[in-house]
Amino acid sequence: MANEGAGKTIKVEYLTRVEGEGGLFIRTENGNVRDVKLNIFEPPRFFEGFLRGRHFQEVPDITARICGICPVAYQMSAVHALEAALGVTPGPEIRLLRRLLYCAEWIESHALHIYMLNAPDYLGYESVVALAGEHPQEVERGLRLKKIGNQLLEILGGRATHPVSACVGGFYKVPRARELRKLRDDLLWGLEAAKQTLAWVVTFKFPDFSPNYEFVSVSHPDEYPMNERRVISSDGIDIDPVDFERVFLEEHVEHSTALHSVRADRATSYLVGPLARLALNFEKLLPQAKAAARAIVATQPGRNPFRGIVARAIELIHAYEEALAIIETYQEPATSRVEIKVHAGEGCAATEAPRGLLYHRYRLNDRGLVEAARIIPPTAQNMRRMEDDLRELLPGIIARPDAEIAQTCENLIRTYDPCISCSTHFLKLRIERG
Amino acid sequence: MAERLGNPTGELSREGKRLLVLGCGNPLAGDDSAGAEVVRRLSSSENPDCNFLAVPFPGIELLDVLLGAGTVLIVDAVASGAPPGTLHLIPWPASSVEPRAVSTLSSHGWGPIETLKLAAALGKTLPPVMILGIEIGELHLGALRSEAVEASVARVVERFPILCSLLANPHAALWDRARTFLPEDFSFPGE
Repeated sequence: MANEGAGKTIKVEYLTRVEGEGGLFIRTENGNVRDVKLNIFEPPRFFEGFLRGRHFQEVPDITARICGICPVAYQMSAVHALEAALGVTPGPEIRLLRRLLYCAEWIESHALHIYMLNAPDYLGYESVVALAGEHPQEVERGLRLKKIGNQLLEILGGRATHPVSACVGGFYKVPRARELRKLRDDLLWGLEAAKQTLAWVVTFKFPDFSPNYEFVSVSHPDEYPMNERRVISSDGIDIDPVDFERVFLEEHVEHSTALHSVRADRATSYLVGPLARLALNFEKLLPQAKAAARAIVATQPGRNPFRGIVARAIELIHAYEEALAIIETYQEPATSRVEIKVHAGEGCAATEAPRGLLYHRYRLNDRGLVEAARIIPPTAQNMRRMEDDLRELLPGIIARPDAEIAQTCENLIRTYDPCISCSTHFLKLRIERG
Repeated sequence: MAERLGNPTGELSREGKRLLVLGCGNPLAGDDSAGAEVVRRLSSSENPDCNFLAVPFPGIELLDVLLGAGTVLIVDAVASGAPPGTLHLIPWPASSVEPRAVSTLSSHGWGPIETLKLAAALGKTLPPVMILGIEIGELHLGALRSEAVEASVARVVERFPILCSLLANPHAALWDRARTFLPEDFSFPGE
């Protein structure tokens, strides 16, 4: 950090407790914020490039490797998009198992973020290790909440990280009902522990900050959004995913290997993630999650990004509640996957990763090989919004000591639970010379 | 994230006497892969006394693995300023060992040392833990291991039976204090 006369430069070289590599640069002049940049220097991943030429059935296992925290969302967005391209519709049992897969991922990801990454910020600890010294019961609760998500994912996906069971058309192998029901007691414990989590996080002190977000999320007529169907926003967008790239635009900015997303018609940022999902789909929460959320009406997350931890805690209750409901009624499907007739086609899908809306599009040739792939991760969509948040937050705190400003900004970025590794990719550059 | 090699670690919690060898490090990042490579080579032959576990990107789940083990050997890349290939045997707890700096090689800045510290903060009783640090030279994504680290990996694998028997003896001198073996020092792992 450096003070230069009336101007000031604040640098956070490495953002900590986020997944991947990023830094923050802020420049002020005479007390006014002149420049805010989230520097993303994680190397680009090129997944869209090396998916080309691959058989469609290889895609889910490759995209699962994009992220170790949210592999299910990458896997399942690919599956849904490829099924759209191939005109495949699996049956209701498969659909339920897929929702269960999402529940498992939301449980482990939300528990990780709430307890290990975000709670230390609000309680004044530098890390979960320091937090554990004085709040061991809470940290133990977080560890067990996360572990149950891992166990569920292991049963469903074959392993807790980068699961291997999901495929286009269904699953390579579906779990036995008795295997799933072994987790019933753990899930019952988890449901109550998730409620305790909500009761705990609403006691935190949050900065007073409420930007005027445009929330964007997936929306389903009957369900809290996970793996389908339309894309909606708080400013009136209501589209089929096939229109996603017409309505939202990805831009390359010099200081970031992650693209920035904006609304195509007015170049404004928007927010995806738990705050957006909750705001747009509150009524579709399952009963216990909704009741718990209503009981804390005075501390609803609303538009305050710092209260994202509250939204995650509500979704944690929902995920446990839904997982329990699914395993109670689960019956092994007669066939684990539907037959696929390969043909050329193009399809897309938007699903909800723990961090927010994740869009995939694929074009296949008549041999079922990928000709084009497009992946728009939630963190990339939030990148512009994060910078906008910082621009709005900074004038109110700019008079504070540099270290405090840096800490507050870093805390704000962490509320997004950014997955920087997932978000980095480059635009293809074509130069036409006359 | 952990990848199982050899016998499943579940056996450890039942028997409680066997040595669990954890190999840490990114296999695609030059010398950072040293720990994972040691475990990969050792696990290719049957060893009734040891379980081997490659943990390229150790997550918080490592806590349960540690708590279920008899004795733990963590093999990982370290940076102390010593010549590349230097071997460090450090009984845990050890104030000289700090978590890795946040770098392109870790996820969420979490690693085995953070896990050991979390266990202590939670008041958990850990089994005896020895850290075998291999001093790094090259540390870039896509890089090959340096010659010095490659030689040290080979030395650890060759001397592993001796190390294994020393670790099994709670009165062995290597549990008393940290020891350093420079690349030209062939006495590893000591007496």
